[in-house]
Amino acid sequence: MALLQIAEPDLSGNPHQHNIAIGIDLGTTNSLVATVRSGEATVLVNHDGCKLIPSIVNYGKETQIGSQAATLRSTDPSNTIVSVKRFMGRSFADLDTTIRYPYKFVNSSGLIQIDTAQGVKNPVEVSADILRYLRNMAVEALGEEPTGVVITVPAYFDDAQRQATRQAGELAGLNVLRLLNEPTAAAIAYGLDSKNEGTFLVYDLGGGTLDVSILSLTKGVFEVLAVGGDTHLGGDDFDHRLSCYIMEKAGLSQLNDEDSAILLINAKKIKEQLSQSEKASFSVVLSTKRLVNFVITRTEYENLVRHLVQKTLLPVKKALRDAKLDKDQIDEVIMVGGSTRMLLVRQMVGELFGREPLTSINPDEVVAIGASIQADVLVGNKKDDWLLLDVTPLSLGVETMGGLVEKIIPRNSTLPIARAQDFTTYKDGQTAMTVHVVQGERELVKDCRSLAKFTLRGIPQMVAGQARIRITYQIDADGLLSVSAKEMMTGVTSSIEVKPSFGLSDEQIGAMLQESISNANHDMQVRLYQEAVVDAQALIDSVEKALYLDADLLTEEELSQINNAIMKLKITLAKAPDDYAQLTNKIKQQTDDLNQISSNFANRRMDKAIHHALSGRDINEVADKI
Amino acid sequence: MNKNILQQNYYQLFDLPQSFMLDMTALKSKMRTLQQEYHPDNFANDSELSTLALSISSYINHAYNTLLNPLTRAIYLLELAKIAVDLVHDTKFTPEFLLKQIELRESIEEAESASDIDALEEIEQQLKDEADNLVVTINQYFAVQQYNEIIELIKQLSFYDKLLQVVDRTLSNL
Repeated sequence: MALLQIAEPDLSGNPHQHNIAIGIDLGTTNSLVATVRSGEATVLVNHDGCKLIPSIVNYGKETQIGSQAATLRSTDPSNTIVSVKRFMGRSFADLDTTIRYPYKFVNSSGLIQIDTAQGVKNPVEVSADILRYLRNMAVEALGEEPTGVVITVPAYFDDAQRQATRQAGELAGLNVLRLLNEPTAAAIAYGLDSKNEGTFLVYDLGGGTLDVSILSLTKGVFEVLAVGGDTHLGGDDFDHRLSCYIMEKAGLSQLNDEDSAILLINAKKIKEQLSQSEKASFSVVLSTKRLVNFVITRTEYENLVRHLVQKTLLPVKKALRDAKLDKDQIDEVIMVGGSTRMLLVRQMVGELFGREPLTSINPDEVVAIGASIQADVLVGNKKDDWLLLDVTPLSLGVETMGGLVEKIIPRNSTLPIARAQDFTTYKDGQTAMTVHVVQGERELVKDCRSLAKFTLRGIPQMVAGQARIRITYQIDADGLLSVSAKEMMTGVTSSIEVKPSFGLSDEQIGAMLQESISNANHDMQVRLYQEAVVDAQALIDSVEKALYLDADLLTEEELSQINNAIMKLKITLAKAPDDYAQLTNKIKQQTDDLNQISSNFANRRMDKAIHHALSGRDINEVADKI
Repeated sequence: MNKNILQQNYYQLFDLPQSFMLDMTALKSKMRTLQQEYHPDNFANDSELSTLALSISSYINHAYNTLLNPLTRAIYLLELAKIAVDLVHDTKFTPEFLLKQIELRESIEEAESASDIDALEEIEQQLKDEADNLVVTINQYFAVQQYNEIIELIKQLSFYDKLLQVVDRTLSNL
């Protein structure tokens, strides 16, 4: 593990030694690193004197990061990865097919990977490279390895995206003390700056997303009351609207990719100019040799995008509802993100609250600054301690009958939080049960994000309803989930724990479960034997049941192969164990054999089931039969 | 770190008298004081302590939420008195109460399909008032320990709680 390479902070030296802590804003477009020096938070610069490091990595002959990588964007697009944050913790199926990416994507058992001149890279590795660059910047600027780091994430990031971010930090050799929500970081930067007590609303409008958080600061405790936002609304939408308007005005239709990009870039420039002046213009020659001249006044532009700003106010109102607050109970409104430079945004948000929003800290830097202040507290540098109580942005639930979600932990619950749920078996002799954990607000499982699906095996055979299995869901202060399951029976209590990571296969999760099984009362080998027996028995049961239902899907040869494998396994199971380890291995081997031999059969049954489902059968009925 | 904290009941934890009436300001400020002591962020550099802190801090949050909401607080007080409340299976209500619930649901659905935010907010206020009245009555019965009456009122309060959630979700989606 990369974590082990970190040197221990020198405890033997000066007891008043200052620990170096850094805060990192790992952004979609740009990343920043900040630290607190002699009580003052400062954003660090690289050797070129730049604070904003483009979140771009080029995997050509050498690995280039930041502005050097940015220059290769046009000449080497397929090896130059931009906006990798959009891929963090996402599955291959999540890829937006309407966007034409220049990369060679690789589907690695459902996960996104990108094939580059330096081999296949996953988003965690790419982010780790950016983080490593920022770490080196800090080491150069501070002359020392940082003791701990706080990395910011958007408040709406789900468990998978948070896990991926944490992994990237560890891969970069950083001691990640905490993941911090970006709006919360901004509030910290302002709250501790002004030494205010009160209730803050953070309005964070970036290029692609809007994040809203409401926090209160009372007697050294920062409490997040509600978070909300819109993951598909940001500055890019304003540029898109303007570029459509330009096309309309210039009488253009059906542009090629290059010309669309040219118009978008100019639209963005115009938007930025209009934050300074009353009027803006450009003239450009398209690839078709067509000359486009365009002039627009601020008023004209504002009328064009007013509805978009209006749309950003809906999540603001929703967050107020969630926090059970009226808008006049908000003491300060904090603006974060480059898009809040737009005057209309400031004006309309200001009008809603009847007060001027706070913009004194650079909206690009405020998140990194807040992160560095929090990091400084966590490594123990700050004397007047204060505490941050954050909330979970999304509800957590489990799948119940009929593909419905039962909510276990509602969104906006203060972290950390744990909830337990008791389950029982519904069939006589049932030895396994599957738990499917999802995150999201929707009522159907298919509309939520699947976080983990695991099978709890080894439940002792009992009459239906007798076994009692308690599953505990724990979300820690970072918003990361862990699930533990405990069988509670007479005399025997075994517990398993799983830290779900998005995209793990069932086998991997199974292996993780096995690894983490701990039981002091039972001899390890005996337990492994028992588990192997239960697994083998479960497989035999399911294959036999499948044969009973669908043997007609097999050729005679296949059928006899499967029957042979079952028979062999049954004979082994009947043997009295004297050497547990040896017998366990044999059972496992033969279970694997049976599994392999019957896998084609399983696939065919799945096809059949899907076919049935598609022809209008009840999906639950089908699921039961699989 | 005091591990025994996990054995304390929620009132002991916040050092508050075990009653239905509760000083909310005191509850809030005790919660903050406890979190300042036990939140895992205080032990960011010690994995063993921070694991223990995680369970204590989660316990504090759960206790806080339970006492904050009058419905869960009433159920918890009965639990401490060894009286079980079965909200899932015990569904006996007077016909008048059920009729009123049906009417309320219909008016919510009507306002929802008409996207009438004003009407929904009016219903929300009405539900809140009804719930507040129930809480006042529950408090009176707790004073004289009339547990059977309390159970009936808790069942009714949980109805209003659910309806309020429905209205809240509907308003959020509009």
